[in-house]
Parts: sequence; structure tokens; C-alpha cells
Amino acid sequence: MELTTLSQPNFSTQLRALFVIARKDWKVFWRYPLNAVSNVFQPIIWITPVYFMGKAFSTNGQALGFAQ
Amino acid sequence: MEPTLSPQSLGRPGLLSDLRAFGAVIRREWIIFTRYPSWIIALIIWPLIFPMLYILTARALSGPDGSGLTVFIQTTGATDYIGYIIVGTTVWMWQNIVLWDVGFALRNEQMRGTLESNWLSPTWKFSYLLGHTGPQIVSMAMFIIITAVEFGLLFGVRIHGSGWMLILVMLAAIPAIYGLGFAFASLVITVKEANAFVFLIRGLVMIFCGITFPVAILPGWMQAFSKWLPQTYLIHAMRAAAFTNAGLQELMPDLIPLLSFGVFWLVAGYSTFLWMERRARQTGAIGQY
Repeated sequence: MELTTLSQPNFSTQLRALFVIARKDWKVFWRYPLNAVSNVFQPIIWITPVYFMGKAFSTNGQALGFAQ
Repeated sequence: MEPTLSPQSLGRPGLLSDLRAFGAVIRREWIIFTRYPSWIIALIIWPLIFPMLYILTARALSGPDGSGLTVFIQTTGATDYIGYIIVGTTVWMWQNIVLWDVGFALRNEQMRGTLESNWLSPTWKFSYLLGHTGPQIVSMAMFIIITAVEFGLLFGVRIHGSGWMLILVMLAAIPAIYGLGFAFASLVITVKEANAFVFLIRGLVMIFCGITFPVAILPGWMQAFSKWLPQTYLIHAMRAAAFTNAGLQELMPDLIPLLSFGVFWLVAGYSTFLWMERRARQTGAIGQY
């Protein structure tokens, strides 16, 4: 007897699997809204120290060394 | 007459049993720590990668003729800008690693599936957290030593001050840094996914504590806020001890607030743990994922 599988993989099923995984990850991401909100602040957190560091290298607001 | 049988627990809690539980947790954590030696790679690479971000930025800001560096030296009073940056970034990494390691200790054990069964045993619950701290301090000491060796060999950074004073300052910081970790661990077990809190706390240290610049250049309100963070005093004291040969007298204005914060965070950490323990008993939070 020839064994057959019920699943019939093709391009459409692959796309469906891709979509389902993306949907699951999207749900998990928004399940913890604080994590999502914190992503908004990440650029500020990483850039602010560089801004103040730049000030420590500047005279009257001019970073002359960097300008060269 | 029928004999009476009073039910007795096999567990007999006492100081010795608490110490044994504490020792067992330390031993278990040490076995796990040494079982996965790939951490050695991280231990060698990370002390270089993060500070390099700021060292290269400092080089760009200095300019080809180093004129920017002269301004930085005048502003900070530091003669060795690399050493100045390394101290700040090392403190940031220390707090960051403690938040991930100690802060997530209970949560990781919960995910491993052993927390609930351990919690039911008649042991001192705080030892689960305290025992995790011992191996963490050892690995962190290795991290700091490797940082010093790498920057000494690759960038010629030298400690001009007293190494003993530097060690004293770091020891004084342990209660504040780990106390915060204890409070955090209880919070994590309550809210489960707490990555955002780690990002927030390490972000505050990054912005307000002057890891790569002097706090004096911050606006007034930011300077006022920075005084409420123990890492500000730790960074300042470590720079003074390492590069200006500051003695105990000069370090006192930083050591006193550092130790005071230490007492506060240890009490806050332990109180939060007791609150979490009570809440866990009432709501079954330990078994909830």
C-alpha cells in the first residue's frame, strides 16, 4: 500500500505558513505593550550620550575638531 | 489508649539548613556557569566592543590635529580620555549585566521549570536569589580584570592612582548595584516580560551618569536627577581613584552616598522580594508563565 500524506505542500501553503508565523509574532509583540513602547525611546537613549559627549569636545557650541 | 501521632515535617528550617540551601544554590549556579564555556568568548569580546563605540567617536570629535581633545581634557580634567571612557562604560556594563543576570535569575529558573518545586521546599527563599549573586560577582570581577588587561595592552591605559582605592570603591558599590538587581528580580517574576525595564534603567545610567562626559555639562534639571543615581558617584569615584591618586578623604563625598544608596537598595530589594513571596503564595504567580 502506498503511503500518502494529508498535507500537500505547495506555494500557497508555504505563504500561509509564513503569514501565520508573522501574525503570531505580531500578537506576541503587542501582548507586552511596554516592550513595544520602549522601542520608541531606544534611539533617544543611544544618541543622547553621544550628543553630550560632543558638547564636551566643543567650544561655544562649535565642535572644531570634528568639523576638520 | 490509642497512641497519638503528631504530624511533623521532615524539613527542619534553621540557620544551618538555610546556609546549606544557600551553598547548594551557589554550587548549582557555578556548575551551570562552567558547563557552558562559550561565555569566555563574550568575556573577551564585550569589554572591547562597547567602549570602542565611544573611543572611536571621541577620536572623530578630536579631529586630525587633536584640537577637540584639548577641549575635552580642559572640560573633564582627564589626561587619558580612553581611561576616562572605559571607567564609565565598564560601570554601565556592570549594571547592565547584573540586571540581565541577577534580575532575570528567578524568571530563568521559572522557565527552566525548577522554581515552583524549589519554592515548595522548606528553605530560605531569598537564598535562590542571593546564591545566584556569588558566581555573578566572580564572573564580573573577571570581566573587569579582562577589561583592564585588554585596554592596558592594546591602548596603553595605566592606573596612575591606587588600585586598592579602586577596589574599595567597587566593593562599596556592590550593595547598590546588586540591591537594585534583587528588587528587579522580584519585579520580573511579577510582570514576566520585563526587558523594557532593563532598557529603561540602563538608559537612565547611560544618559544621566556621565559614562563618557562630565555630569557638569548636563542641564541643571538633569544634574539634579543624576544625584539620585548611585552609578553617578561610582563613576566619579572610580575615575578619581584610578587616575588622580585620590585618597580616602577625597573619595568620601562619593563613598558616603554610594553606601547610603547601597543600604536603601538592599532594603528595597529584600522588601520587594518579601512582597513578591507573599503575592506568589496568594495568587500562585510562581506557577504562572
